Amino acid sequence: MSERRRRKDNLHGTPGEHLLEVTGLSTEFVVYEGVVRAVDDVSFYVRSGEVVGMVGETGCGKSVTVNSVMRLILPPGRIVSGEVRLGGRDLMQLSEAEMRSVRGREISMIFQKPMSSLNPVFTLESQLTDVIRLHRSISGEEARRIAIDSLKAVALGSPEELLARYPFELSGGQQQRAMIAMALSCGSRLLIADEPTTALDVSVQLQILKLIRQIMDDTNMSTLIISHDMGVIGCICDRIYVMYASQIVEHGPTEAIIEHPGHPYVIGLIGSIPAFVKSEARLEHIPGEVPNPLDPPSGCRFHPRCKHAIAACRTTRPDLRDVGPEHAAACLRTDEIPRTDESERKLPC
Amino acid sequence: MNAGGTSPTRTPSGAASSNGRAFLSVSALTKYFPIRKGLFGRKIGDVKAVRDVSFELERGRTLSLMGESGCGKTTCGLTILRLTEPTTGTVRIGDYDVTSLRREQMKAFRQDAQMIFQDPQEPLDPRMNVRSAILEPMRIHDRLREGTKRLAEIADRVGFPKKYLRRYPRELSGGLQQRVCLSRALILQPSFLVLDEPTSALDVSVQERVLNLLLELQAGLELTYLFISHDAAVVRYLSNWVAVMYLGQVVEIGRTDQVFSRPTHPYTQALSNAVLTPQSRIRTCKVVLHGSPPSPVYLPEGCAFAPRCAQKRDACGREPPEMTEVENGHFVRCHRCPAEVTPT
Repeated sequence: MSERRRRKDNLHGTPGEHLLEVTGLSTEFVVYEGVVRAVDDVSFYVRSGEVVGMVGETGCGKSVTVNSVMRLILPPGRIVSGEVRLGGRDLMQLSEAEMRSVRGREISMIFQKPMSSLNPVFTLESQLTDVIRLHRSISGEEARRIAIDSLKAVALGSPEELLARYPFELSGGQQQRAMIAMALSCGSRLLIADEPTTALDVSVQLQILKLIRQIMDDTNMSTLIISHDMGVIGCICDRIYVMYASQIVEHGPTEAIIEHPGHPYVIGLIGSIPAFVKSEARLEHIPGEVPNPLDPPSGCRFHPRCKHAIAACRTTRPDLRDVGPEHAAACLRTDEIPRTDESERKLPC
Repeated sequence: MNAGGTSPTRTPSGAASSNGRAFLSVSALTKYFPIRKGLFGRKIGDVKAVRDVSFELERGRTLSLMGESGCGKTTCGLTILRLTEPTTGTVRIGDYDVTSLRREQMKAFRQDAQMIFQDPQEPLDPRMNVRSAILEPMRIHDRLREGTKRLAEIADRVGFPKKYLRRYPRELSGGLQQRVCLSRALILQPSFLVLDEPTSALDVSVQERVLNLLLELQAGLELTYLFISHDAAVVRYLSNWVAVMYLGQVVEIGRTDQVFSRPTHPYTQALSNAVLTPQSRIRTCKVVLHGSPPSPVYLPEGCAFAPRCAQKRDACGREPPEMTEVENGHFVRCHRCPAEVTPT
């Protein structure tokens, strides 16, 4: 192991230990019609060096969850309860000033549209060095060197030349690489990526995901990736959390979730991916609509759309129960319902 | 016609219909956008968005234009409907010789060929309720009375709940908004639809329902679709024919099973390689396609894909390749074909 690698290991904690631990997080938005609980009693963790995915449909609360972790919730939203521990420290107890030093320094975040995160009137150099010098008291010269290093780390050719450019002079893939470089430049321990490749083309998406995974493997940094795309989440993550209507309905190791999902919603979600079904077969169907967040169904929130629902599902909110090693599903009948049949699925290529 | 190589006898996606005439026929379609500069608008170059695209399609079938953003697939769709004027080339849809229609003939044509866009919210006026939005095209074409009669039937067909007809677009989910857009198009009883990424703004579970709805509508109303998408999985699910576009050109065209089970152009191979399924593992995935496409203003000499191609040879940098038929109805624009095809 190189000197650099060892130093990183110390900085980023021992592999396997819980770097981020979120317990009982709830976030509400007070709107005219009532109160929307966008995140309801959500608990999850990210180990050191692990890539964890959070997947769910639009409006299921996945982005609000990570914004709550960063304490980026603005009124009328508020974090009602919960603990967010980063390396043992509860972020909820920090002052706003302390929190600002966590953002960017300890947790970095990249977003769906890199163009809207970059300032169009400044060059990459001024934006990258600004972030670096905000968190470290170093000279501009040194900051420039770090900026060049991090651009090299994201495989951007001729970084010196790139630094002089404006964001609109870069392609979408280059912009997202620059964002990742910015996230890396402060040596943070956790990267939160909110739909990092949704705005990119498939071939560029593959390059970016490959890059993220490779950086994580090299530096032992941890990543929390948010996406609606099961393909993206499945290919890059070690573990997956699935959210539905503000709650986590299933979590577990990637293989377990993909091959043997335990929750009927997750089974349906995987069955509705076109890449996943035979070309002759019809896509599977999750009937009904996503519930109204102002008035979520009682008991299990999926029961109005679930073909396996029984009377108890209407009244009892199911807890996450173990269905395998590190694999839990929030369904009352998870032992009784048939898991997806292997023979029905095949790879497209 | 250039697409079939030097001999003008065959056209890609031949699709000979029973009467020998294809429903949609596009030949040598080209669209350049001039770049002007300075006080007098001197032309300094062209964005070559669509270059010499030709294909045919029979009634009731779907052809997909597939490619990455900026490859010209949307411009191609717009040009076929003359929502933007083609630079050269001809388009025939049914009985309409689209490229030579005069202004007063356009109105009739517009009722027969409609377009659905990616973002379902954009075409809807936020201050117009669903009912008026669906009836708007009928009002424009002086068929309002007929439209009012058929409103309920259309809503049924696309699965739009009638109790929501008085609602406004912002009160509807993306899936329902897309159904409103579909109703607006279908109430005119068109025979041809250009669908420009109609599901890419939707969630997977909603996408699946809209895709199945499109298949049902096609079977029930004998619609012909030109489907535009970057998503290989969706294209494969929906279409009979696939044309893969790169930098304004069709580089591979064939039946869906041909293109997906035997992708032959290096670009098509790279694209199908980049499709992620939940079972792919990023550590083992190979990045075949590096960088991004060159500018459509300064096209590379020779094959447009050569600068990114892993299988390129000397000739690729010099001469642009012609379309070559590699199997019945399956055409590829590559110097390696047909001699050195390496099916994957």
